[in-house]
Amino acid sequence: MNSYRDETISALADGQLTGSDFESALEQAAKDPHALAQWETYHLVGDVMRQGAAGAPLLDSGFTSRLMLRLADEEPLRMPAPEPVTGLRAHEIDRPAANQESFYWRIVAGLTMVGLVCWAGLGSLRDKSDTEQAASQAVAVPEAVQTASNGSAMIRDPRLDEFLAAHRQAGGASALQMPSGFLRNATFQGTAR
Amino acid sequence: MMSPSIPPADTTDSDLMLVERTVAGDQRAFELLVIKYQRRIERLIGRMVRDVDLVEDIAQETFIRAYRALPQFRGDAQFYTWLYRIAVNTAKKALMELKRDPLVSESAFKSNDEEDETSAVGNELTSPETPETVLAAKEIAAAVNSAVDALPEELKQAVTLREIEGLSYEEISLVMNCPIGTVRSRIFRAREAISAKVKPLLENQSGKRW
Repeated sequence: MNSYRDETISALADGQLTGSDFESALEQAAKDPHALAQWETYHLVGDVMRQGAAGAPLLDSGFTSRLMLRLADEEPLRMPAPEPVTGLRAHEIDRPAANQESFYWRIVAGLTMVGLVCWAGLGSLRDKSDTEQAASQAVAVPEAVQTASNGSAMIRDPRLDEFLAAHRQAGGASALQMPSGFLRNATFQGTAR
Repeated sequence: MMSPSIPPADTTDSDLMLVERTVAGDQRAFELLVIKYQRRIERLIGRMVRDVDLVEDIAQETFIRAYRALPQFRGDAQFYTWLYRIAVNTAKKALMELKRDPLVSESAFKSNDEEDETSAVGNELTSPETPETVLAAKEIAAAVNSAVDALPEELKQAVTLREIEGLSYEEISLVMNCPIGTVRSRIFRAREAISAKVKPLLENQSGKRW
């Protein structure tokens, strides 16, 4: 009987018992000091086989009994309280999140950043269109005849246009010191004339 | 015989089962866990402090903290990994408090970088040990080694595959080409033979400061 009991403790030490075997082995260890001593010796043997002298106990054999005396004064363990069941799913429960405060600040910060990015983007687009406009004015080679919006033909002198384009800096300036180009005469050849 | 201090893997997580029993109100289940791990925890703390009385105090505090926190143990990590962190934190806290105490000498402490189990020299004896504890540990190790060497080959192979290689009973039965019941019996008989050599040493030293 003792041999069978000790073999059961040996298997328990190896984690080879489940279900009722585990329960009965635990009961034996609980009520039989010899079974508890076997449990200790088997683990000690294993520790020493793996680690040599470093697997031997450092403290005296009364460590466990002193500890268990202290634990006897401890309050019974309590499992963490489960979440109350309300019949609602988690996403249906209307309550503020734990990070609600910081969430508001993140929204404000995010919108501010979006505004800054838009403002910076518009500014760069405006600069780009001004540059393109200036470039197109600089390289535009006028044609001799362009059609006016009313359908009449506008007579232009290509040489004059070329000359004016080459001397833009000599043209007039607005009050904002922006080049305003030349004021020139145009001749329309239409049915009215 | 010298090997890394990795315990053999359990086929079932018996530690978790013992934790569940403890949380259900069975303190004896926790006692089994204490007996299983107390030597490793003592050695771990012994690498952080030099005073053997401090080692005991911190080890006791470690297990009490672990006991109180057991309901929060989910089994996501191995029980010893969880216990190891509690031991290190408890030792650090104790050392911080002691360093503020002008009556405690510096010789009671070791530097914090010695706490890491992996950095420790596995088989060197630690400072809290007295010459007597060193001798006792060596005697136990010698008794275990000679008992293992004296085992019949099939018992020696079974217990070595289990304790050193960490194989499960099922794996050992495949290696040794025998039923699982035979494996279980051989490991038990090997342990009994080794225990018979070790127990007299333990009884002689029982009650003494190791």
